[in-house]
Amino acid sequence: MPTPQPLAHDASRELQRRLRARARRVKALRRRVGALTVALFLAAWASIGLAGAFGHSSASTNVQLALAQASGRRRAGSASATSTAGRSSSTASTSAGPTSITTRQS
Amino acid sequence: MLATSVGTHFFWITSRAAGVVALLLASASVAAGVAISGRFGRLRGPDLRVTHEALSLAALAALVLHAFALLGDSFFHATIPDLLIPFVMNYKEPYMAIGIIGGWGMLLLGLSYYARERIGINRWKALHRLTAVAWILGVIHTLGEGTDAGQPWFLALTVAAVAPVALLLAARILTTPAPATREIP
Repeated sequence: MPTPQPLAHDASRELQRRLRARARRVKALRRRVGALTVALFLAAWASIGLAGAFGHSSASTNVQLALAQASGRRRAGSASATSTAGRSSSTASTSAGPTSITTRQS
Repeated sequence: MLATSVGTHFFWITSRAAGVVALLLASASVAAGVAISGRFGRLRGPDLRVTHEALSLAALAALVLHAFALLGDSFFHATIPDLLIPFVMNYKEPYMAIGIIGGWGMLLLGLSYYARERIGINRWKALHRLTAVAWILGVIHTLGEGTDAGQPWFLALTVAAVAPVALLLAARILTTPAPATREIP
């Protein structure tokens, strides 16, 4: 009766080859997800940072409108380019400072 | 001007960017998770499981950065309890609390994968399904509290990320899951 050892040896080598290929694939997938995460973060950071810096943030505009409505007499003045980058009303008044909001008696 | 503005708001921008990334990655991860457990043909397999795990870990990292970046923000003055315990901060409630509860849910239910043997596979599977609820809480937090929530680009991004996952989830709930099969890589 022939010994089954060579067959078992081949099967073991095949299994090892498959496991190595799978490990490579897993590593590549993880690397891809990592790269995607970093790319998404940088893109989001740049978009939010630049939009806020150049005063295109509707959030900062909303803050000024909310301030104007809250006071009844206040009106949001020219948007400060560096004012809020999308702050809440409580922090916007701090960061924008009084000079960025003009007041007018109704 | 740009440098000053970005410098002043560095942690705030970092938190917002990390929040956006967390939402996108968590949505992709939930979609992958639903695809693994549901009847979505060729999408199943060990590669998808690895992708799901990697996306989940990346989403959790973004989530942690989203929360803890606020500690460095000089305007927000957040403390660790503010960020970890619901209703402590009293800022834009209940959306802040919803975000904290969703964040804890994602963290605990996601990391429970590594303790599934101890928990028991069936019990863990039942628990892990609740991750979708944590994700929904995250979406509510995003739309209710997110500084960028009113902006068209952000709404478009959110809809693009959330709508397919919502459809997958609905399909998963409405259809019975396929029997578990083991695939050879």
